[in-house]
Amino acid sequence: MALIFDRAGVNHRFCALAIGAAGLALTTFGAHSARAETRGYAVSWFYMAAESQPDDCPEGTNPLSDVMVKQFLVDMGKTPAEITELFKDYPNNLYGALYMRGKRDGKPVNVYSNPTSVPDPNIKTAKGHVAFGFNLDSKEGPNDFVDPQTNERGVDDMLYRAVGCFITQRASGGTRATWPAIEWDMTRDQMPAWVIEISGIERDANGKVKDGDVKVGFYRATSPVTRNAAGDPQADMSFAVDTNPRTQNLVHATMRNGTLTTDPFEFYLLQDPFGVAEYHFKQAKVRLTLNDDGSAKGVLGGYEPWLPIYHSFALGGSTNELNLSVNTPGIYYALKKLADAYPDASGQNQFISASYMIEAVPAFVSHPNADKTSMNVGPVRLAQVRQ
Amino acid sequence: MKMSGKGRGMTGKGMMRRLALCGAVAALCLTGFTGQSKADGDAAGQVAMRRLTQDQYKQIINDIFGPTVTLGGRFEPDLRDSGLLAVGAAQVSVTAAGLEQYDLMARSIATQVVDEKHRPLLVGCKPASETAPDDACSKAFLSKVGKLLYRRPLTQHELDAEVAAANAATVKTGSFYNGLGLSLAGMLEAPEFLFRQEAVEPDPDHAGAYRLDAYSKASRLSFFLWNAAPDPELLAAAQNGDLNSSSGLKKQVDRLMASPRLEAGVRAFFGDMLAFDGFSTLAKDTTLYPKFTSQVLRDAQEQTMRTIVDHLLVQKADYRDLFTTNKTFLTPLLASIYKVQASFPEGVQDPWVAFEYPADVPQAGILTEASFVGLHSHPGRSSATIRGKALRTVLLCQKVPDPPGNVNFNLVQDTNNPNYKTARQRLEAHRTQPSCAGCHKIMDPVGLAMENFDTIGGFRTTENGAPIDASGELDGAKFSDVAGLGKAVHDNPAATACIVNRVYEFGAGHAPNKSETEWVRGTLAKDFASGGYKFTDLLKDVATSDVFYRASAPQTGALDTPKAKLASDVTGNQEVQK
Repeated sequence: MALIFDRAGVNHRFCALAIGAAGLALTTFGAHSARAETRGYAVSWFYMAAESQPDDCPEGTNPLSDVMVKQFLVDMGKTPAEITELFKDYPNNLYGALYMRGKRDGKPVNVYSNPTSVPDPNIKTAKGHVAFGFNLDSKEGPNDFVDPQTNERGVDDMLYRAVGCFITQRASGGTRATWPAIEWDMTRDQMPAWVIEISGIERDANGKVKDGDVKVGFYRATSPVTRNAAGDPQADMSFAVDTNPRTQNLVHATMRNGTLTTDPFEFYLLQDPFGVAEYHFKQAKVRLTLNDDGSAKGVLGGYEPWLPIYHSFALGGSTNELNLSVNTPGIYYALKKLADAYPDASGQNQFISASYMIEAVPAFVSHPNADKTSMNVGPVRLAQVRQ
Repeated sequence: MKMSGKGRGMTGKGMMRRLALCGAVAALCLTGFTGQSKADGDAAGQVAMRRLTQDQYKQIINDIFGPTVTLGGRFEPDLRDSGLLAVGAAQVSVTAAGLEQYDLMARSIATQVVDEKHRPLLVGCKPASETAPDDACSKAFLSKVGKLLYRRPLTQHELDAEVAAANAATVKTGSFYNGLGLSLAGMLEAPEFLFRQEAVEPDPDHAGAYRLDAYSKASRLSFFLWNAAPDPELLAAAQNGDLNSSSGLKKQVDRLMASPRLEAGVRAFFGDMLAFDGFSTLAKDTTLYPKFTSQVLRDAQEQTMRTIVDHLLVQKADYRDLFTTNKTFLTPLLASIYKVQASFPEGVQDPWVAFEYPADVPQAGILTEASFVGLHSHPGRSSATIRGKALRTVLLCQKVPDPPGNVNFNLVQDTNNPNYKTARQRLEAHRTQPSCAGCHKIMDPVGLAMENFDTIGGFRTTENGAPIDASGELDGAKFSDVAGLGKAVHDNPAATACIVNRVYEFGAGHAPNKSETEWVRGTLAKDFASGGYKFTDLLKDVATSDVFYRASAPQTGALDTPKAKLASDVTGNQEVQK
């Protein structure tokens, strides 16, 4: 083991295994001096980005669940008396009542499994022009946003357009939107942690991170994060990377003023079936700022399949609708209409641009059997994995 | 066991009997029924009545009845005296509230022992009728269990009384097992069980001198090495006189030391010496230190225990190296606190792994573990003074006076004062007060060496942005960091003198008197040094020595009666057992 004291007074120790892994990385990319530093992080939060503006839902937000559900019941043909009865002890009598409100061939069907079994409710979608993210298609269009941090124009984030007028999806000022935060919070205790490893970091004589090239790895570990006494993920825990190639992404990035920005790459990580079972982003880019307190925060943008996003809402069925005030089939239609990339043969886009916030705490990341994995041979692409 | 109204009435009487007895015992304890030497210069050691510790009580119940019999209730707090709870155990009694708890636990244990699930195995015999008294079965069970509980055979008088009590309760409750259980419950709250009573006898090899009788010897030995009551083999060695011969004693000591149960004894000793009972009330400000959880608290103690057990029992290494070794054990949470990377097995709940610090880092030895720097700190900040005092009192057995009552701590406590960013700066300013300077001079230069560790043991190089100077001095040995402090403790003769003294005190239950001190500081300490400071050798030297079992002459007067009766009763009962 070696001990590295950085000039900021923070000590970082790396076991032989990690040194070996970092050494391999440096050898592979060959652009860093012997003083290059490797930093590990555990992702503490990963959630849909939102920088909601007061005027980005000009017709108001979508109705709260009591109004929305009442309309569902009317659409289902319930009488006022029946609706009054169902609304007693709200919402407890309604969980079961909402499932079979779809119609197929005149027969009731589960609306969450069959979102097109009800007409498109044309939910209100966000019309604003402020959102975190990246200009993924290198174009500027009427539906694009401006990133409030970088002022980058042409930011693609149609996911926010689709769901940004549900109050539980809205947030601003660095806060987390209610439902995306709950979803991540509920899954991270069980799911193997997502970890980030940044290698090739160099510092100047004052300990400040130098501009230059670094490599960023996004991996899934073999163990979950642990919560500390405040209920937040514990910092400085040790994680071993899952050797499954589907859980490994490695990409070149450029460091500028303590913030790295990756090249476009294909991001693929398993998460949890409760949320999105498999996160897959095409043309992904990550911007990550390394904070002085050892934490990191940034944004991931990219095109992701929209159907799994729908499933993450539909999984909760009426519970989500009643408690999060989301119109599940409405989200299906909105996602489908606003999807903006990778069309199938029919011309229907299968991917939607999206932005997610990443928050991370310092961690130690090691690579078991590093010489037997592909971590240092470049990003593993989804197509390769599925072959 | 169901407690009927009649049964409770019976037990109520029994309880009154126990209460009276216990009160008497407590009074004896407090008024000096300890066989204490008439003069400090007596050649013999003291004998004592020591209240069982919580761990000892639990271990005894587990040993006799097995792990499926569970305990409820709370134990009375222990008392630390002369640096050890083991010594304080001879100074405590049982309060009325404490007796109530013992009574609850006794009833609960007895109920489980005689319930339908346990009785085939634990009671052993079957009564002729489950609704009528059965002398033979009661006697067989109560004599067997009583011997293990009292650490000696029951006297004929005691056994007859217990059988009679069981019979009476059986008649009143209509259940043999209820009756038996009530009698067992009475034994479980008897002073003969709750207190380790030592009896003396004339030493045939030294005219006019006294020694512990064989059963007391067995108890002292067993609690010393296993922190548990004597097992049947040791009691047999006491009964047949083997323990009174050097070879017989050595054979039993070798057996006990070869047993895996020695680890429990070593853990008990170090838990006592290192004042780990302080963890039961240790609190940290989790707003400032969110890494500190109840699991960390448990892990911190266990880390040091594992380090000690591995170092002293497995590696059989030099005791002094505990202060310098770079080998330890970690859990994921501890690694997180120490900010070190470690590999842990997958899918294992609460995993522990061996860990070795690199040679070029300051972390080494138990002084750098959270169990020391965390235990001896404030909830929201470290304390060089408390740590320095702890090092001197706990590890070097030195005395440090308490602070005067009128100390102004404002300067020391204000960690946000921009003029005094580090603890060293704050303490230097504080020491300008003459009333504080004297004691701080012996605590701070030691404690400041541990300032690289925050109040939960997390490593740091700065405080409030200012670099931490961890240099210091211990009894003339200067050092630049905590590793140097560890080396200074390693080389300090007081460290080895302290452990020798503490081991003896832990086993004997008292601070050594003059003659014991001569042996402890002389022969025992020299042998420890010449043997390379092997802790197991130290244990063995104490356990096989005559000094350890010597006793003063029984005091004359009223208190002679119960002792004499006890001795004669035991002797008489040995015949019964045969």
